[in-house]
Amino acid sequence: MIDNNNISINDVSTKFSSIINDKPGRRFYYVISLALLFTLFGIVGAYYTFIEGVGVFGLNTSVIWGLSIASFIFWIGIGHAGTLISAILYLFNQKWRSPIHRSAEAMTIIAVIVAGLFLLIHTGRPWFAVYWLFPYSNQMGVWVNFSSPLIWDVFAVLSYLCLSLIFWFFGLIPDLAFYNDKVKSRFKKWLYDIFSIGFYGSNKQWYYYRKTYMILAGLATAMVISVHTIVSFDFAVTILPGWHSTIFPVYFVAGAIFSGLAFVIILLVIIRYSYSLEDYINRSHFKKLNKILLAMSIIICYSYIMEFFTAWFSGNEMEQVVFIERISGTYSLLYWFSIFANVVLPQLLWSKRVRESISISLIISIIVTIGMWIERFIIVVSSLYKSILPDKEFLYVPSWVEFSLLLGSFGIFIILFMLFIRYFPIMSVYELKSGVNK
Amino acid sequence: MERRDFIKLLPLAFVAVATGCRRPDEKIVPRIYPGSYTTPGMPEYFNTVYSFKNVAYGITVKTYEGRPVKIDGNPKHPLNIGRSNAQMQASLYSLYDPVRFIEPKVNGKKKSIKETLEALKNQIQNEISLNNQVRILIDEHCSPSFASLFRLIENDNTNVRFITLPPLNSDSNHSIINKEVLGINGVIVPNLSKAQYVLSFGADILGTDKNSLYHTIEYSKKRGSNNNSHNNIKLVTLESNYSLTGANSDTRIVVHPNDMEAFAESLLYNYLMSSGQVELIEQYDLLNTYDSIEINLIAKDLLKYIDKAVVLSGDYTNYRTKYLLTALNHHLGNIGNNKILCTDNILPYSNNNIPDINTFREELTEGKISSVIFAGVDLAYFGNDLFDLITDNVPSNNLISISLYDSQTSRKCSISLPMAHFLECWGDAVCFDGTKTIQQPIIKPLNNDSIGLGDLLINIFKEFCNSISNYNTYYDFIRSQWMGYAPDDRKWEMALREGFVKKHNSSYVLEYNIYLSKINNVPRISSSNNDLLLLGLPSNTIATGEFAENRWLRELPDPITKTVWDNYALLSPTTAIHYELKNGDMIEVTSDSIILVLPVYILDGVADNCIIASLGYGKTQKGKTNVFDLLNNLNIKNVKLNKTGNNHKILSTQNAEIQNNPINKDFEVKLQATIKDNQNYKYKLHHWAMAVDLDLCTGCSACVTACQIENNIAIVGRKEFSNNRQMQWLRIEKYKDSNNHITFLPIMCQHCDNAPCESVCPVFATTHSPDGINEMTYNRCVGTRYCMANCPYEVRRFNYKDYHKNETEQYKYIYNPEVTVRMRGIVEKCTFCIHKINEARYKAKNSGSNAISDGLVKTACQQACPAGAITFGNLLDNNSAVSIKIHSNTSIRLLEELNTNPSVYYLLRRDNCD
Repeated sequence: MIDNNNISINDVSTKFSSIINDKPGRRFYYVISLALLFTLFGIVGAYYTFIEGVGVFGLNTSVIWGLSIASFIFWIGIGHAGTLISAILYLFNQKWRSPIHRSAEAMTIIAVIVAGLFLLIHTGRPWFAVYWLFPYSNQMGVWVNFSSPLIWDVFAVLSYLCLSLIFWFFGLIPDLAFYNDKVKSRFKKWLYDIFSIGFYGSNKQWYYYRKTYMILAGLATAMVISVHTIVSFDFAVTILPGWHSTIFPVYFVAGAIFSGLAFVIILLVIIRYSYSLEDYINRSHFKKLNKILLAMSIIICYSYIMEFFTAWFSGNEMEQVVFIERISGTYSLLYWFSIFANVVLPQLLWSKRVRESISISLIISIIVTIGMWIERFIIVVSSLYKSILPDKEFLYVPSWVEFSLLLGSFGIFIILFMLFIRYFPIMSVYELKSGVNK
Repeated sequence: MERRDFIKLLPLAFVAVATGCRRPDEKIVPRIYPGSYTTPGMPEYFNTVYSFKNVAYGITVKTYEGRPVKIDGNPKHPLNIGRSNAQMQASLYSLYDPVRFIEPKVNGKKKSIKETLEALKNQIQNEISLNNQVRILIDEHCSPSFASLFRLIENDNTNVRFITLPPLNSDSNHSIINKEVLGINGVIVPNLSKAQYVLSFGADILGTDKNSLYHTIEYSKKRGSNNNSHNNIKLVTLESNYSLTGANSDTRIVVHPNDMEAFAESLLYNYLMSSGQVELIEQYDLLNTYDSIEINLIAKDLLKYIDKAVVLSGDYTNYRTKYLLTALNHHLGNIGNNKILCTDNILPYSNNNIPDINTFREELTEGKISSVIFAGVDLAYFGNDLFDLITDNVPSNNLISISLYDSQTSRKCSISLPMAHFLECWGDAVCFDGTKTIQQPIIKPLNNDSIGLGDLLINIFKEFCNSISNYNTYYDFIRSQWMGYAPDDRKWEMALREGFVKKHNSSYVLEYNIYLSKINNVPRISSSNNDLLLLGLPSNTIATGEFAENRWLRELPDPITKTVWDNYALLSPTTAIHYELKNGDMIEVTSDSIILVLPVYILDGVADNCIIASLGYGKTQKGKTNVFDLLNNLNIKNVKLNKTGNNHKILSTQNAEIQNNPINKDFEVKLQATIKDNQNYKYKLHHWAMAVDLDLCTGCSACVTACQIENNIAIVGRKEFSNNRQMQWLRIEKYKDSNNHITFLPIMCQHCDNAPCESVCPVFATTHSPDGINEMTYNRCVGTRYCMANCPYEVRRFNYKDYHKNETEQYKYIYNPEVTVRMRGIVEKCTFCIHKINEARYKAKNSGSNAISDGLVKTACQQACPAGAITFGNLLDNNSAVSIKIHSNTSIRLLEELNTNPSVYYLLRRDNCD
């Protein structure tokens, strides 16, 4: 929905054809080379890991999962907001989603790919893990263990990736056809021609298009709930105190949407600023996103309280030990930071002025993103750090390799996202046009 | 590899196998099972002897294609009945050690063994012709042939003398007392099988004592959860450090070393008082100065048990304490034939050698000595001042050394020879009970330049010594020495096969008398318990440096502190607070301007004002870490302590802070609700299970080393340990019991029937076998480590790096071919020694039965355990040893409330508190 009455359909066409036809500015190259540098650093780390083994991480005998698993959950979580915005809001007929859902979807796909990389790198023998985790028929007759949440993980993440990709691509088709008309380079025209799969905008096409989009949105909605639920099963299904908890699926899904929305806000602010899209992405969008953010923050807060409640009410000594470790142990500073970032700080959004201020909501979103990453880190590490047998505490401090992988993941994300901005319509142009005041 | 390539390479493999066999030259090396012949891939067993100083035990060596891969106790040997300790298990390491000394050197230049021997012979000839004095320094030993060899050499050459020079002369202190009080020249080994009450004054009979294996066996016979007459032995320990004996005591009393004497005196006073021998108190001039309730209790107990009680004094008790305790033992009436302190259970060759050493010192200062041979004695390491005296007074090119490692001593000698490992050369040994054993070589020296000590002596002195001139090798000499026992080849072979010759009719009863009258003349050594002392004691793992190079033992967590690789200064919390020290702070310990730098480890339960450090460290690494330098052959020294401000990361497998024992909680769980076995699977023939009797387990950690060797478990090294990565499948955890004592809990894979690890593995790399074993398929593992996350017992180990990659080719011979060597990126864990089960299964199948009879499978830890605490077998067989143990009312399973249904049962420890 475009609030500015002065924008005509033609303006929309001109704006978005200029984004792909104009040569990118210097800043674009600066950012992408910085991202390349990050990626290179990540590749060095990954190469070192492949050559030497997971031993280059800071992991030890009892803390066997660390930064890479935390980052995996983080990125999968980031991948949630895209589908939420595009599918769930679509089903609820929220028209305001049209300028933001496309980039959110792209974010989803890229984040899921990046998350998958973490899963692969963290395994001891990735050259086997890359295909032994699939139920392919082999001469040994060995299948995967369907009772392992890790296998559900592989399926869930992959189906989520596939469906997100289809949903995103399907949403792109009319816009690709529009770009096919507008693009100047013949090669690009040919490409856009192929990918717009013969969409020319007849009434019949639009009729079927809308219907399919609705079905896909329904499917995607189910996926949003299932994927992070399954990721949370990785923890909830174990018997480890601090992990073994039924609140985890809700907690994880809410956390995923929470962090994803924060990330969307960051990206929107950047896009809006870089391409002067103030007319399209305005305060009301941020206001609405911030409202969902606040709602999710409250759910998160509830989960935190439930965590304490479980520890106290279960009477399980180990649960309590782990909880006390979380709030007052070695990693407690991180814990309190995540409480501040995820629970306390978002409460500012109750204020209308804060909700509508783009700069403040950017700051809040950045802190929430960091806070959510740290929260995942704490979930993964603190339960492993305390064992059920009162035995040993081996401090886990991530090594430089793990940080390089984290940085590299951001590098890859930025590169892919910028390529998306360069070559794809960053907003659903046809929806914008339909929303323009005639 | 292509099929064609494989066939091309096949002949090469045969050649490799053929050359891989390094059978010794002598033809008479009988296997235990006669008639067997070498089959590639099948193990062969040989009996020989392991001797550590003057203590010897029978061992059985397992070999594949001629290479020894495992040492275990000889089950028939009367002394160690098949059991072993960590050091015995790990003694295999130095055979293949990549840093072993291999090249003989003459004046710093590498020479062949022939040239070196020639040079050595010339030098000795020179010395003998010039009538110069030659001294040969040897370690304590228990070989009768070696003793007679050097007696023969000494008789024929008056200028050649052998001097026994062990790192610690503590035995000599005991032998001084024995000589003075009993008239016996030697150290008595107490016979615990006759004792019901043992009071130890710092005598670490279950830990660092040389005879600890024997003592542990005797002690364990009287304990155990299934032992009906459980209160068979009561152990009371009085100590300043925290020893294994203390941890296993029913009562443990902590005293400052300087208080030991007063305690002993008051105890004797009280004992004499309560036994009505008041006149002796005056005669002995005793005072009742140490005020403690415990003394009365102990005195009462002593009176109750009387001749079934024994008082043992440790290394660091002073002369008068030992004197008083000998008097106490005399009054208890336990000295004599067939008593606890039996006068014919004398450690072989344990006579007092201090006069010899003093004479040697005098001769050195007078400049009389012309040549010194260090025969396996690293004097530069443990006796700095004597070594300096030697280097000052003996021409530097007349120093000769023969050693297993390139030691601090050998580097300063003009001629240095590599010594053969005890599995590479002939020898023999006699145990203190008179059992004699032949040491037969299992493998030809891996390095052709190595030479056994006996062979070396024969080689050098053959020409100057008429009585040995007709022996070409040490083997010939031993053979001649054993003529009495084995006159013909058949008997000799028998002796080799059996691994020992039982004690013949003992005509070896020592006469003894009691001379206690002098006791009032022994001056009281008055010293305050406010003095800060450094107490240097043998390490629980690497002894007094004999095993300092042994990476298996360096990585074996110390039973008490659970630290690895490094030496620590143990302080009590009070002392640490007094000096404002934290765990890991580096301190400087100073005495006579000698500085020792050690990291602090705070241990609740050591005496205040005491710094307790292990001897044996500082041999291989640079820096001021050698406790010998400071102590100078004593056990105790007054020292000063300074904080350096540096910090050291404590490498340990467990926190310094000792937690409460989870076992007690588990027992409550069991009492509250007996969880029924909800087996989803009905086991058919076998359900393998293990019972660990915590009443027997002393925490000695022999099982950990045995497991490491048996299962090719990687040595991760100091650096990886500092990243807190360990690979040992079996660990022994220490906990606090109700009396605040340390108790031990060995934890291996529990082989749960509801294994949490199995359900979460995404690729079925860990599964349950039809006979109840949680199996790990290494080939299938992709290393997600999910199983590790979900294992509540934390027994799974991950190969973070390729730990075997950096091992040398020679070291790789040590691998057990039955067990896969794991690569990086996969998870491993205890398998219940599944290869041994399979071996038994094949044997059973070959004899036409599917059932494996009880006792046929012995896991490595079970086989090694000196206390016999571990039982393994079939749970479905109600008569099997393990079933009987498990069905006792003290058996529990760890973390029963998680309903994992483990196959490992623990039998509770019970203290004797009557």
